Amino acid sequence: MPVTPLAALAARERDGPYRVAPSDISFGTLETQDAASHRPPSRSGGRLRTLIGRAAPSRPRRSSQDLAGLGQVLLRAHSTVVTVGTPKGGPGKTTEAAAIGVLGARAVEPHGGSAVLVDANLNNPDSWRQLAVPSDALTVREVVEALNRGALVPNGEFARNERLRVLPERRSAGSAYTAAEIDRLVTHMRLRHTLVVVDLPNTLPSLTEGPKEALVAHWLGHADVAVLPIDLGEASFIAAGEIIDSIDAMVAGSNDRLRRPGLVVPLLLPGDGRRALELPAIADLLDHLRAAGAEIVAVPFTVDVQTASHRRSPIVGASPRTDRAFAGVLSAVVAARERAAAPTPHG
Amino acid sequence: MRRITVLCLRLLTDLARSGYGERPELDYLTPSCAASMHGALATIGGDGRYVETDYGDAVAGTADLDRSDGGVRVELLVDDRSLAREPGGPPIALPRARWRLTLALDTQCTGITALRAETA
Repeated sequence: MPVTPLAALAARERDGPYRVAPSDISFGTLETQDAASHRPPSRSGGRLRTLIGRAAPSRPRRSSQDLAGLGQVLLRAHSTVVTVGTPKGGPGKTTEAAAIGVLGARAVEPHGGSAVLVDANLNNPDSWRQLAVPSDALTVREVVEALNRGALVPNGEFARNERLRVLPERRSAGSAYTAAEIDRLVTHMRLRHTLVVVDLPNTLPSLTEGPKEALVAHWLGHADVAVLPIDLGEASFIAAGEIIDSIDAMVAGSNDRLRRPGLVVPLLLPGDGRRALELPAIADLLDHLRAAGAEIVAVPFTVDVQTASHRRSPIVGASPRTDRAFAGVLSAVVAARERAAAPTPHG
Repeated sequence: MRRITVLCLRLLTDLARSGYGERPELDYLTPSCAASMHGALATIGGDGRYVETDYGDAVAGTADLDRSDGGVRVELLVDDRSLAREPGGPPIALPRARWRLTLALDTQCTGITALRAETA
């Protein structure tokens, strides 16, 4: 009969030297609320079905061997924070974040790792409807408040049919988070999860402009990889360039406290978009992004993905073409993570 | 309290993951304590099965902050509802248990100097 870890420990320690005197006086109480927070992701999906009463997980389209390789790299890195967003809305920011999270969870979970998706969109949590997170799910605000109190906090809800944890934002999140609160949240997430994907608001980072801008600055300060989704519009390229400039300014002004994150740019392409890549103006803009260290990954813009939430269909699994593209984005994220972690060559 | 919380979380998470065959580093335990725990965890698995660790819905915990030696004692009560499973196979029920996990922390609450698990 297999033994559980605690049973094994009890058997080993039964005659151990450490005993507790019954007269010990208790003071503070640990506000431990949810042991699910200590539970690694189930390999069966049974826990998921129990929680939200849905069908079995959809099958990954990418071969499990490829995902396993990516998962091993992420496990070796211990924890990876991936931010997703640029100041320009529209090019699939939330979809990219969800896809990276879902595929990342599938990649790390067989190795004992876990992934979480954090919605950093203040006052705009509706974007997570497509992941079918229950409306009463634990929110980012509640986790931050628990950490402020020094309480233990649960891990949050699973996405529909997936091993991905999701922390939506409270609908009335309102006020800003301080840098210290984000520091604590990141520390907490890094301790618990192999992969932390953060869906950022559509704005440039700034510590002086407002709560959303400050939130983006705080998160980018912790990012190992920044994903900057764009489409073919000129404003989209400009937004990506602006946020890269902002990141570089933050890093340059940090006295070596911050490291430049790896950069991945998913490029949303409509059906005939490949032709546009041959336009000199667009080719130049892409070259500029590459010169700034970004890896460009083309992502087909399909009706299947756009309508996935209407059809209560998972984002990953909507179409083989987009699945391959999302897997390419995750591969680029993992490669960028490896590059960002590599020692800087001297001379 | 936050350091205590983080240490407890790390320990419980490492214990949970060891059910899947992972061998945690346990660098927050004293060497003798870590060796003892590694020895215990080595008895898990090896037969192709893994333990789907489930610590129930609530872990109760108490911290004693007023020890004469300056250290801190923490007591956790854990409902163990874990299952065993072969890869792709059906769950194998394991006896339900309630454990009392007692930890001794150093004065800075950055490491665990002793731990003991027993039925509660």
